[in-house]
Amino acid sequence: MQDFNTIFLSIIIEALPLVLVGVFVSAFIHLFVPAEWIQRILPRKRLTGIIAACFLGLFLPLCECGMVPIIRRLIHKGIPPYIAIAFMLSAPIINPLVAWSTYLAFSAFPSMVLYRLIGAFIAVVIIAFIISTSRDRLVLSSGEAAATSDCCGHHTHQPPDSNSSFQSTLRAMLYHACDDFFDMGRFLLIGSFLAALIQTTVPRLTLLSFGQDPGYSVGGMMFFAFLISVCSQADAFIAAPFLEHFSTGSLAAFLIFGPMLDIKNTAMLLTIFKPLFTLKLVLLITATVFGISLTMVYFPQLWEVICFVH
Amino acid sequence: MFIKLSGQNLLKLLVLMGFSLLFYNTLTTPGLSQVIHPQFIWNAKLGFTLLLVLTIIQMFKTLDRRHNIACGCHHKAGQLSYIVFIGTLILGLIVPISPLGSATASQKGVKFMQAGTIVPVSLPVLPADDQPELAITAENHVKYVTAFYENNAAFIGKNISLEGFVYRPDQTPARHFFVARFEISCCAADAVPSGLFIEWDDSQTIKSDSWVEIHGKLATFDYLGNKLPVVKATQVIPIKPLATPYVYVNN
Repeated sequence: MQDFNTIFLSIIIEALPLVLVGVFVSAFIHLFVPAEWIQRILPRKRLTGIIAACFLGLFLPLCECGMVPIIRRLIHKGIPPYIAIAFMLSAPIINPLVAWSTYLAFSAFPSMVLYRLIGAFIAVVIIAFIISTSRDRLVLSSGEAAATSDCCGHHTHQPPDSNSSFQSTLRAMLYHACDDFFDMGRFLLIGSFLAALIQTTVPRLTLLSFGQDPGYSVGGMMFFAFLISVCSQADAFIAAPFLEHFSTGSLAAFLIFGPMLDIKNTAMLLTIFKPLFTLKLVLLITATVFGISLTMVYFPQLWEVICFVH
Repeated sequence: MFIKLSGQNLLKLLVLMGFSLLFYNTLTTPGLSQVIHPQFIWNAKLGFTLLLVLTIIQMFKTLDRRHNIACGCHHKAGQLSYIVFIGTLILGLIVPISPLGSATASQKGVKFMQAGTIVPVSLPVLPADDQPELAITAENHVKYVTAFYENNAAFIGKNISLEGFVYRPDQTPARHFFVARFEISCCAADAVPSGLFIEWDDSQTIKSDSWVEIHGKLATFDYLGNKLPVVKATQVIPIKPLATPYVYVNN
């Protein structure tokens, strides 16, 4: 029991500061980087557009929790859904904050950062390209068409008589950061709790036998990522303790799949996309990440070369 | 003037204050090194600072009447999610931090004794033969213990001393026990027990979880089909638990 508490607390002390940084940064960007600006800089060609969208996360280091409302606004403003989805899936992974926290957590095996970034990049390009070839353009759910493009009403609840709009924007941003802490923090706490519980109650040998079979371990880690719904800035700390027992491919699957899909953002996706499209998207993401992770398991030398494993 | 406060905002304020207190508590107890690698203390300090900032913002937000009246936000956090925050605070503030013990060691399994990747290390220089005893300390624990497992033949006959807690892995022979320290590379969540088997005729008198100082000669023995290093003890001295019980992996 005391050991459980020590491990639980240690994950929180380690990961919560990174979530806090993310909350402040994302609140800032949410208010000061207009979606129009993103639309203007995106290339018009399909593949270059997808690739450019993949690297937007470098400038917009957002957690997956903040992505769904933003892509809804992007699609409303006329950005093709496949570009918006490429952005949604890549930004929570291919961004400096996540790379840094992954590096901290995997300081014993820094190449994991490259497995995560490169694996995610390939997955997103494949997923977005497949979506771009499908004919259905009307992907938003029917109620969406009439909905306002502004997600949380952060700008609408400003009093109109405010004479300093910068001040009110700043205030909205700071208030938003507080709410974000609660929106994201609870998933982190639940995830840390489950991780600490698994660490202190399930013997490693049980986990080990589970981690040996390539197919089960990749699928299992993806399922684990889906269930615990931890923010992408903190999930590396939950995966790192498994480094000794799980294959690199299965840990990469956890790190790539978790930010793309989990319980909380699947629910959010259903609120904006048609149910059938959501289902297709979920299956497509799952199959693609599973396939890429399996190549890491079955062709380890290839990936070791790509990711500079010594 | 009477200001009507929103209950939810007040609750959030209390939770934020609680978390600031939790971070402050953890940063100021000696137990900090039992929770995270000393390298990441700045990280916890950053977290504490940002929590304080959020607490102050939340204080303004709670008192801001316009926001409370006009807020169209649908941050539907739900009552249930506060239980998660409050439960964490109760656990973190009331249950004292204690170093990990042999119960967790047996859940995690000893480093090197199971299938898995061993991070290769460059072998440390062997002490000159006339040197009477090689002292394994917190600073060189990781380096030497790894070397003993990777190249146990090279160290046979060396006199060594080491400290750690007593732990008995499954199927430990009657005359043996294991002396380990938890090895931390980031935080307590990644702790792995690392240490050596000890051979000692009176090993049954040594209680698990007690701390001991061992003096003896290195040899090898067969454990579940693996040739592992073992210390043939000449002296086993009970000691008080060390103030910094873990050893830290340097990156």
